[in-house]
Amino acid sequence: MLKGKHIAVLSTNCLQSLGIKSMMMEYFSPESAQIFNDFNDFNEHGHSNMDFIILDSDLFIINNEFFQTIKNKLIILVEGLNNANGYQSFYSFININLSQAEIVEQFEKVILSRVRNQLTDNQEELSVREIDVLKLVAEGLINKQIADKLFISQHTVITHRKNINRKLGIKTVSGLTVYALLNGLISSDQDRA
Amino acid sequence: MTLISSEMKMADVIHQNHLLIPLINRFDVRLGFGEKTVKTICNDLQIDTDFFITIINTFNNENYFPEKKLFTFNVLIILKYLRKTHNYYLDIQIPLIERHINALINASPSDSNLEPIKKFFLNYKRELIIHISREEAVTFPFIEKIHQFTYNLFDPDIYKEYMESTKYYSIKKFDEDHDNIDDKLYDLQNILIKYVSGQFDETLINTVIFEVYRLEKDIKDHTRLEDKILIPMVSDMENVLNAKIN
Repeated sequence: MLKGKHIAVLSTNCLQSLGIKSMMMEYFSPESAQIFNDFNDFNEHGHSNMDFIILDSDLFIINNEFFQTIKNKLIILVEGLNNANGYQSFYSFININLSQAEIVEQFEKVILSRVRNQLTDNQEELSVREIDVLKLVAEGLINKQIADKLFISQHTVITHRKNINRKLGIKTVSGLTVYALLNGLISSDQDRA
Repeated sequence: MTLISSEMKMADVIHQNHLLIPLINRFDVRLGFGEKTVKTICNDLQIDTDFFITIINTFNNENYFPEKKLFTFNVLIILKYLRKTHNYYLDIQIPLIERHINALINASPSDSNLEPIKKFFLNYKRELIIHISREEAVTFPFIEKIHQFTYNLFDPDIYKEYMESTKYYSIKKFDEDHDNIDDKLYDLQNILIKYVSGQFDETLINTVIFEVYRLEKDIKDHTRLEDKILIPMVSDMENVLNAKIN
């Protein structure tokens, strides 16, 4: 769910931060989850590359001024939700006085609500131009030939190819050829790969 | 994943991860080990227990890769293991996948569009055979020679002569030409998972995906051993030898 996302876990409690980290890795597979056991460490490291900052409520209260500025990245750990009364609409809270399954469920809710708009599948459909490029790649043409044929620069061809690879999840030319064949973009007598 | 130790029963090791069965077969360890521990079996079969355990743990746990420890093993023992994995790919896993793909095509209606997938796989098979034969015919014998020069009485003239005969081959050259052979396996799984359509036999296609996945994982593990251990090891030996003749 968190492919490519970076998480900071900020807590003075070493076991708690380890627990949260391993929970993140096991259930949400982020790109990385880094533990900071005090605020200064975290501050020195910087937060600009962090997508989520999970922190315990004490640190949040002590450094409130700082965290105000990045509240859309925060997930705050509290013991019992009554501590969070009145703030729920501004911040995301996780009650950690619950069972593992319940904690995971709370994280899932918060994380989903933040990444949802990035998960829509229609962004992954190939564009018309990308299909043009894909057909020529599948026919065995090299970048220069494709550029000449479509009257675009080689640089543009490369950009299209990167997007095609990313969207389809297929890295090799012969893999793309099979995709093109399966989807009727080329016929098998054109297949030269 | 728990680290496996030589005191564990071999049966418990396999219960922990069934994918290790083909791996232990490569060391000529066969099923039916009763209550014997890893250590006992290794001693019986004259397998280097330490090497066996390290290989199993690196396969078992992707994040576990004790480079320092791996560097302490004899290069010949590593070559022996790599050769065995080559045999496993060519003699067992590739024919197995091919059989499953054929069965899948035979069991699916003739209008299903699975032929391109078979062709893709056969092309891959050809590439893999070439890749492996090159290693077995050129690189591995070269490494054995380098090992000989390193550990036997060193004669600079014979070494120079040998290097000339190889047209100054070096492990660096191998490293440069060592192309990626697992990407296509990933693509194959991805195509089967995302882009097949029409009628096909579900059980058989699942089996194909699973077996291709196993091959991909195994090859990745194999390549990591070559790139991270074998190549630097040989490169170190080469440096020492070349320093002797300059």
